Amino acid sequence: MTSAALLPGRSGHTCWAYDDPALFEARAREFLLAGLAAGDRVRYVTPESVPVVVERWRDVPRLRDALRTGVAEVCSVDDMYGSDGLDVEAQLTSYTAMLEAALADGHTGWRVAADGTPLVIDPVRREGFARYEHLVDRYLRTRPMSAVCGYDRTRLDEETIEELACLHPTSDPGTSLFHLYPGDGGLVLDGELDASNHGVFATALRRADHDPGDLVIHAEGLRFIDYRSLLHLHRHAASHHRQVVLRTSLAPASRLVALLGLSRVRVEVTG
Amino acid sequence: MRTGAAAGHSGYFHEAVLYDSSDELLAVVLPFLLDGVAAGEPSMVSFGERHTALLRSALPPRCGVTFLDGGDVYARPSAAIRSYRQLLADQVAAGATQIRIVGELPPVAFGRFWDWWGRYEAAINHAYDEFPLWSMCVYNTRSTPPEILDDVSRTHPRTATADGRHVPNEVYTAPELYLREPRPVAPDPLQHGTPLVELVDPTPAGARAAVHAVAPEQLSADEVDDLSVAVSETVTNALRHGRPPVRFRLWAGDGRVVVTVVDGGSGPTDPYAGLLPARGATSGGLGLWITYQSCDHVAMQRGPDGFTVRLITGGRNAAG
Repeated sequence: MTSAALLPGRSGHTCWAYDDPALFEARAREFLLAGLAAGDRVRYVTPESVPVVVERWRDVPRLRDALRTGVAEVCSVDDMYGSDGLDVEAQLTSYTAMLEAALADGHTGWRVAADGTPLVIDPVRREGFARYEHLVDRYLRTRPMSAVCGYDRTRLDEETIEELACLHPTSDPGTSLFHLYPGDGGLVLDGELDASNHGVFATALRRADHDPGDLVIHAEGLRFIDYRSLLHLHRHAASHHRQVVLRTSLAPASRLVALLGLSRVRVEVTG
Repeated sequence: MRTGAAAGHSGYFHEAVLYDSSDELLAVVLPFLLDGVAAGEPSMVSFGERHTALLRSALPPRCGVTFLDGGDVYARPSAAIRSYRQLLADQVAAGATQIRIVGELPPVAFGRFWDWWGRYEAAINHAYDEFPLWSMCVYNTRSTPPEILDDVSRTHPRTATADGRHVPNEVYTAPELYLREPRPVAPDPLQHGTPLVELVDPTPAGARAAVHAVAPEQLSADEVDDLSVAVSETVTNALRHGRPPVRFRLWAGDGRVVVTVVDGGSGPTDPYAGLLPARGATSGGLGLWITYQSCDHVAMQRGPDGFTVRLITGGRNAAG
């Protein structure tokens, strides 16, 4: 059983931010070694030269064995995602093939740790990859596959990392105050929304919400929402949906919606 | 066509009633309401329990006067303005040419939170002026402190008397001037102690976390959530519109929480800030108005240290 499936309803999709590539690699190795111990096939995706990384990994007996038998792989960012535009559909199809092969070989799942930094430096490429982050999360929810995405703080600004981190169900502390990701029949929203992340929330919603009809946001894990974010949900609903349904236990949300007359936002108060 | 003393007047006709006995109160209020009903004008009462009972017993049965459900309309000035503006808009939409309302503030308004009710009385001269409203605000001269009666005269253009006169108040001060006057804010007793939390240039999230760490011992969960909204907006405004450094301080005790947010700027220029949604409001212009509706008291003060917003939640009824 891969660790992803141990947490019902939550995907094993997390975002790490690092300042030192060596530390990211060390952390990724721990994550992948835990996968091996759980019976997963594992892959490390790196912008570095693959032979150089493989040479380093051979120092660890468990990894050396796994690399020899093909249970562990190191692959380049270009080999994993292509050197230009990402074809998300083709990418997910290839994951299905990989996953099925792993399961057919007796593995419990597939675990990937990828440094996504080179894919998001260019703004145009970043837009496509951010959309991929959301779609892959939807994909991972129902499959025995888990993934870590790493981003280099020395090459990306804080807001760029925040824009990507918020699309994961979990991320390193300090990367994003909130998360917006796929849930049952809608989106899940947790954390805190205020003036400091208003723009990032608007961008995340644009990237994550592409289904017509009413949008249901499961916000049981939301700890704070300010009027700007509610106003944005109202406007978003006006241009994309009939209504946004916000399921939350935050009493001020209903009060602010009533105060501002946000007719397109319906707050369903949960216990 | 408007009738009575407000005939020919355009906009809000705002009067005080200063009474020292029930008879004097009824002598002004009964004809005001009954003449309104006779003229087909919506005539309404927003009194506390004692005066509601007095008036009900003095009015003829089923006379057409509407008693507004007091509820929480006078819990906070900004909320009262919002409720009344909605009520007035509905009445005008239904065809009213004049609306008559007589009201009184609850006892808690006459304590140390009077300052924001004084500001309310000034601000409504502007906030209700787009409606054909004739209202009377009643004040008991025996129980109302003299300094509050001074403010009443300065915020009501006229006083209605028991002998049927409508006397202009010579000291009446236009709301834009009254609201811009510096108004000393007495420190809350808790402020004499050391703050439990002190932060410099906090993020809104950091300030909210401080509220959630300390306030639950003093306040209900709803009050904590509402104070968190107010603190978040106040810190956001200080960071965005004020000048650094922004200093956040929090005191708690005796069932209430006091927060001050000080920045080096001079505060909002709009005299109605907080009481009305900011004029030409963009998505960033509503924070102070929301803050005013999320706390039991908000005070703003300019001083040598810059601009201070003080928020108090809890202990409302003990505050008088």
